[in-house]
Amino acid sequence: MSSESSEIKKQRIELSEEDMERIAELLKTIQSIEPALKMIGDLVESGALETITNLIYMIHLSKNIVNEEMVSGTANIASTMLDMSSKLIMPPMQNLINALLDHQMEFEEEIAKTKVKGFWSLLSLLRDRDIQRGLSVLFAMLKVLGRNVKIKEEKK
Amino acid sequence: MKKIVILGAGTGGTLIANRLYRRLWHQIKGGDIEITIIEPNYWHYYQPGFLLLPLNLITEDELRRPVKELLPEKIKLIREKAEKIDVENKQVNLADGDKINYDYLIISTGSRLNYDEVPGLRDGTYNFYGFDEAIRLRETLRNFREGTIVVGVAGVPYKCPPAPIEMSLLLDAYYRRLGIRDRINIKYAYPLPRVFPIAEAADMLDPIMRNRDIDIHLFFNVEEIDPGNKVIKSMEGEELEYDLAIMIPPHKGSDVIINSGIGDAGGWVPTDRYTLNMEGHDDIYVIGDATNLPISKAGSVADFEAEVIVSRLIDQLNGHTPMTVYNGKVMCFVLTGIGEGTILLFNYNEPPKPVPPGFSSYWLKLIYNKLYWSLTAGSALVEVS
Repeated sequence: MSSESSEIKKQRIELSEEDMERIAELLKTIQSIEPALKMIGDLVESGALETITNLIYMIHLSKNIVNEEMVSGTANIASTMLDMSSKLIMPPMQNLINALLDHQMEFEEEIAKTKVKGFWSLLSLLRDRDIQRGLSVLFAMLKVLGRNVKIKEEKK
Repeated sequence: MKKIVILGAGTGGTLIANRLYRRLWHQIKGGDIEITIIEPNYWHYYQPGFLLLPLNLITEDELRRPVKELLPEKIKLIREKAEKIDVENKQVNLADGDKINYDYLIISTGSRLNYDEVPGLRDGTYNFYGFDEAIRLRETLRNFREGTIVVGVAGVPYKCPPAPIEMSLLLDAYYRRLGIRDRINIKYAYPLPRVFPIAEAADMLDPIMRNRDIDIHLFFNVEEIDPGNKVIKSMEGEELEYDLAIMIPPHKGSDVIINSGIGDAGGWVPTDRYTLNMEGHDDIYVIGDATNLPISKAGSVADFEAEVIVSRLIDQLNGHTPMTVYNGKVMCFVLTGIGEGTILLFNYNEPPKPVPPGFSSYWLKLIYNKLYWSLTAGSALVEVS
């Protein structure tokens, strides 16, 4: 005990005025340091620190590998995809996609049943009311597509 | 049928239109609600990008899109100038003589540059607060290799408060990259006693600017600019000589607000700071720069306000008492150089706690420059109901 206190005394003597001021400044932030140290202790114990360290290195490396053009380019793709997906979730598109995707088994069965072998089989399929409805949807899509492709071309 | 009229298709107007469209899709389709937007201009500009254009950090194409392309087809776009808002008869009078009736009106008329307030400002200086202005500055900077650049604020209010600091720091970074920083003297002239209106942010930004050898002149309220002798004079009696002056003109509210007699002396609409209603009018909302609120005039403000206005408007349409209120939330990217920046987030009650500048905020800014068109203007993540 006495040797410990003499060691502390010795170190104290070796501390300069400037060192003491720095320690005093440090002690003012003790309220932040204590919870931070506890958090680090928890991270070490749980093994999460290693993961976090690796993640930091990954970000650090990415920062050096990725240039600003790549960041902008990625954001551009994200923006375009967001734009498209936001249009896809509008009710008319959703209904259309759901009509197809909600009935995948039926779709598979119909593929097996529906065969176009020639002109006459095509004619007989055209008499089917469901096919007529499907064709109407397809033609409506073609009409909107055609009209707007024309508008886009005119703009150019 | 309820008629919603939006005056102006800048950031506030466009994102309100798109948010309302997505939230009221079925009512619009069923003909119960009609949304009309009045905007005379062909282009919608991403205004925060104007800062980057003079240093060629962004291209013209990234900064603008036709207004029509940003709006869904069911939203009626009237490309005409609004002359007057007649609040008594609930209608907007257009320059071509048409009168547009409304049940609810959203004023998003923005702000405009007021060159006339400061003698010499129009002829003697450059700025980056418009598409053409930013291009003009870029063309001048291409060949500017020696001399004194003064970056400053010629009068208040002005939108995007960090912009003059950002421009000073970007210029510093640009000339350091060129290796001729020692030939360029950058001066920062600001009317307040600190470099930024909010003390917490000023405390962080001031030492950054000084460390980059930016010569700071505070309490500098511009009285006049003498383009012949290339001198900026302040009301405090200080004079700054320049070779290139980048001065942000004071802003003023839109003509239609002034003509309608509904604004204050500056042309800003008196607005309830929480409900965002024009004072005394439950059927009129004000968004973005057009308000007289004592907060930053910035695109992010319009974004946060839009959420509140749309929610309140839908409650009103459904016969409920609106409950959502605006808390003064503002977010500002602050670029502190080419490749580094920080973000300020604050509201009516909480000042910003700035994070030290770094590459992550700069990257976020680059990402947001792209996402603006889908995420903000297009409101891509707003639920369809």
